[in-house]
Amino acid sequence: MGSPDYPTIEQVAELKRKSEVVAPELVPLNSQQQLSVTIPPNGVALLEVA
Amino acid sequence: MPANRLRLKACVRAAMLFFFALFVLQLHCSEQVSHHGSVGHRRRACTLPNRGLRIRFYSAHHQRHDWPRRNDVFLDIRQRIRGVGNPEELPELGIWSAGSARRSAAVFYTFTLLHKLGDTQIESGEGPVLATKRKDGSLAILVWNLIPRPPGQKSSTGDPITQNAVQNEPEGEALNLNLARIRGGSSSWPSAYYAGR
Repeated sequence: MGSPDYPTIEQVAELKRKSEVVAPELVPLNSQQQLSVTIPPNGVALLEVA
Repeated sequence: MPANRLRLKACVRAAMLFFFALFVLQLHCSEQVSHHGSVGHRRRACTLPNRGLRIRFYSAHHQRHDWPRRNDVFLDIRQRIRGVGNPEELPELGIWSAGSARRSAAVFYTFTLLHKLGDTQIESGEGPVLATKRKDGSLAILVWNLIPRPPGQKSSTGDPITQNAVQNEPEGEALNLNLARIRGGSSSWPSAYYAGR
């Protein structure tokens, strides 16, 4: 794709498709009611607690 | 004007409106945050409900894809939402604000995850944690791990936009957060959890 100043509709669609957030992972708390999370460099994560 | 350019402008406007709304929401929620206290301490803490917990963990980072990335646009979201940063810089948060597709995939993720946050901010300490409560009572906690670049270091592209914006190193150490209960109680928000390295 390179670095187009004005991407085409197809390129925008490709970016959006590849940028879809991965499926969430269900993580149980341990017996001490703790949860460990590892965030990679320049990473972002969302914890949903229900 | 090309149709795709109009769409890009629409995206920029939408992003600006979204972050402005978040900024206003932060102002609205500041009183509640102060009520919970401990905003200023260095530990990362947030309150969680005292009931069975079902945690869904979304994770993403820009290295998942190999297209050109601009780490400078992966901003410290919490700082922006809290209005610590210069509000005039908010337009730079737009994915397409520079008229270029050379933006980090992390920005796409971040926008998506921001939309999953609740509308009320709850207690959280200093650090890369933004804890929110949704109307249905569930919690949405955003965490991130930025690797900031030393101030004054120019980018390899020489792009003045890059040089004037927040920049992050492409490499760095992973951040290990540990979320744990630190106190209990019987109110609707009885438990506090500590999240730290």
